[in-house]
Amino acid sequence: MPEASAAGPWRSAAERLAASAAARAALALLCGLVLFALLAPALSPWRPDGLDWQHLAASPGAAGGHWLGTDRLGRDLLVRSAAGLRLSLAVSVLASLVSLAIGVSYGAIAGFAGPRTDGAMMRFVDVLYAMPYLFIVIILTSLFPRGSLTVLFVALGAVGWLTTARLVRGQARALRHREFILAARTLGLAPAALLVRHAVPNLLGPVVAYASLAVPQMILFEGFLSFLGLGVQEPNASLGNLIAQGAQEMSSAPWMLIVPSGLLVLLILSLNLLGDALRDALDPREH
Amino acid sequence: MPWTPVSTEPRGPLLALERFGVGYAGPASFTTVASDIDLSVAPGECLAVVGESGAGKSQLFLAVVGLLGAGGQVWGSARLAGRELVGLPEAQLAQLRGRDVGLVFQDPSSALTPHLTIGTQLAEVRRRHLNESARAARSGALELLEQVHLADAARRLGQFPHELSGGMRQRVMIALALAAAPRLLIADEPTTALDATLQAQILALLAELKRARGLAVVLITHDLASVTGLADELAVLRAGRILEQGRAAAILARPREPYTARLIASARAALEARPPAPAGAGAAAALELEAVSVDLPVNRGLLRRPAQLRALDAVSLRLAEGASLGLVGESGSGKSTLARAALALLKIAHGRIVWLGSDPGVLPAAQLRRRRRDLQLIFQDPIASLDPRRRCLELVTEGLEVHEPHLSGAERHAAARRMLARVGLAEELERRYPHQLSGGQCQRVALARALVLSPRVLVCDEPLSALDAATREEIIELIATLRARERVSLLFISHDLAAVRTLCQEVLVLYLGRGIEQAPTAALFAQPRHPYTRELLAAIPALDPKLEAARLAAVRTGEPPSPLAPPSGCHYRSRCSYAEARCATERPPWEEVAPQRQVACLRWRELAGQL
Repeated sequence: MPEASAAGPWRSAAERLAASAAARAALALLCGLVLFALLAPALSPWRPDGLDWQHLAASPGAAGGHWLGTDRLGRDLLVRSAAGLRLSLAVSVLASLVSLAIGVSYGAIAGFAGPRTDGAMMRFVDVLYAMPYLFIVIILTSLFPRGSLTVLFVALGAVGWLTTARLVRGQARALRHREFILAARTLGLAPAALLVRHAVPNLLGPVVAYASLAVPQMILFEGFLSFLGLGVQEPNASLGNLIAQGAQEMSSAPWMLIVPSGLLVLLILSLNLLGDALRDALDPREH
Repeated sequence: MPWTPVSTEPRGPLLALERFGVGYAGPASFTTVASDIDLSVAPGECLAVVGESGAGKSQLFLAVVGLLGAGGQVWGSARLAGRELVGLPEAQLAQLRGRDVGLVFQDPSSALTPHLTIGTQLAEVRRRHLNESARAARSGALELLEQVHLADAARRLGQFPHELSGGMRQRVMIALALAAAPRLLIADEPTTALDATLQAQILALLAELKRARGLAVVLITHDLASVTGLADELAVLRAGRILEQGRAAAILARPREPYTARLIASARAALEARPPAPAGAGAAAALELEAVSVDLPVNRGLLRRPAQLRALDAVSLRLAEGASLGLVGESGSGKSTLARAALALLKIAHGRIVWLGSDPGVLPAAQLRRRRRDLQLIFQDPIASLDPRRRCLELVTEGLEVHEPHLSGAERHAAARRMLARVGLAEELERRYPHQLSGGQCQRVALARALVLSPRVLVCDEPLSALDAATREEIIELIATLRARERVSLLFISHDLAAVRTLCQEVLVLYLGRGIEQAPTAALFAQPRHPYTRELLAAIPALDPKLEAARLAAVRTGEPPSPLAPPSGCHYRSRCSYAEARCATERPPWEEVAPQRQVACLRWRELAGQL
């Protein structure tokens, strides 16, 4: 028997993921979007903040090489959307990963800890939950320079991990008394090894499903913050502020709304599909 | 009376199968589950269908009432009271189920709807099938619960399934199956999930219903011994065909087929096994419990503080090096709590535990973890005790990674493979996940995982109860051989007294968290000293239909009292037929009545000759 038998649950999960058609489609779509976000600004003659006075609010396919049209100031919408997608993706994926890492470890530790530690840790989460979100953001903006990406990142991450921690903690509580966890304890596993080897792989299913929903949620949050003037500021573009602007011009220049929202829909679709496939792949019982 | 009166005119069978068959059309091929089945059941009779798991016995009768999976097909003829069922449209079959045929399944907890009260569920069936008014259905439900001898029936109507014990739930299931007064009851392994005393109670109930109501009963089981008291007719099913059928008494006395003979012989062997010879008195203790008590918190709703349940009350035991000790008792008697406490997986409230000379309660955490390799645990549900996300080989090597970090990966694999071979797991299965294996195979993996660490003590917590008869015997045999070869002391917890007799030199009986009697196995079976031990032994089925019928007729109903409010004094007094006034006030001391023999009964001297 080849040594692959001991490759562990992660490698087996990757193999199962590669075998799923939905996962491959979702990955292809996601890669396409990422490539578009990275390459379009570099390959196009237009710059995201470059103005074209000849074509103000031009509709898609119109002359001047603006395939997807321009906005009120004559900025190329294709390039601008690509730049916005890049920024949104970077901020939301990074913030999701960070909040996931914090949330999973915090929740798993609380779930497996004694009742006192668990109580203290979860009450702390409750306190943070109870703070008005905007209040936190406003405090943060006074600490950092206006429009800085750090604010956005910290603001998204600070709140994102709370839900994950609660979710994971509940899962961990339920796992704690399962027989295979007891069996691992009788083998003499140290608490850290118990968490990493047996607890976390078995509670990731719902977490992955949640994370695939969290990324789009982060993007929408970012849009909301930008709309309030707390997030990404002009002339930088994010999907959020592009959609906010597009919404104002909806009746006169619908493409300004359709292009960035279309990208957002594709992105959310691919992430959700990928999340579904990941959850299945992480559970060998599905196969 | 909601029951259809038994007609006195002589009639043919109620259910008759002729050249009946079931099969499934798969994407590529057609699989026959059972074929050429000729069977019949008369009113007031019980047909027992016996076979190993996979013989197709459940599928066969589910198919009769139209409960087929996707792609399922039936052929031949199945007539219920003269009406042909094969080819009947699904709507009419659905009408039939519940009204004409009642079904009882193995697992009563998953067959009852958790969020509806018992009363609602019973009334629902009566309103649907008998068109009763809500009020009539309600009183009918109460009547049904009384007929299945559910204690405190009026209060149970308003309770939810999770508030009842396993035995009570099985009674409710039977009441539910009988709610619309069917004439045929199909019971699929109705007692497999229950312990011996409850098993006898449920069988006695079925026997009574059969006799009193003229109910035809089809009893599907893998356990030949459990049906001898109830079955009039017996059919032995193997690989989808009937091997032998006839009057139960005749087959049990003179089986024609070698396979049937083998089934009977192995059931008999399990019942009449010679226990292993007792160990010498001199050996050092591998595991000792000194008056250990354990309290478990029990939630009492959202706003009240959890109550403390005394799950284990000053229990002492001593397991000598190389010896085997059996722990028996009903469900809820604290057997599993004792196993977990002995392995320092639970906090103990009082007392002391000694592992090979040291107290795990005072060891620093890191040392405690190192010592854990010496005491290993095998669980009741083999599939749940294996991490679902790891393959068999990884599961077995894990302990070595912790305790023998100096080994290379290849060495660990070699050691794990050697152990998997020793427990009899085929090599091609080592890359499987637990859910891809059968219960027996998973239990072998669990044994390999424990034994690869060369432990000194192996604690088995009901390792057999999730397995079917044939696998059960294989695992008993495996544990016996491994115990001898690996020189491991065995603490074997089970409600299966036959298995305890085969494996253990000594037995400790628990009742509601207290030790009741401890004795060498042969002595305990020959001459119990505690009335409760006597009752437990009486629950062991015999393979003689006459003896069995008499035994079932004598079965007393009664659930053990709630462990949250045990009777004062002697816990057993509420069920004991020898109880007197002082049993309610004094706790019986744990007295030595003979060498290596203890009992906790105030009247053991007077009762010595009577039990």
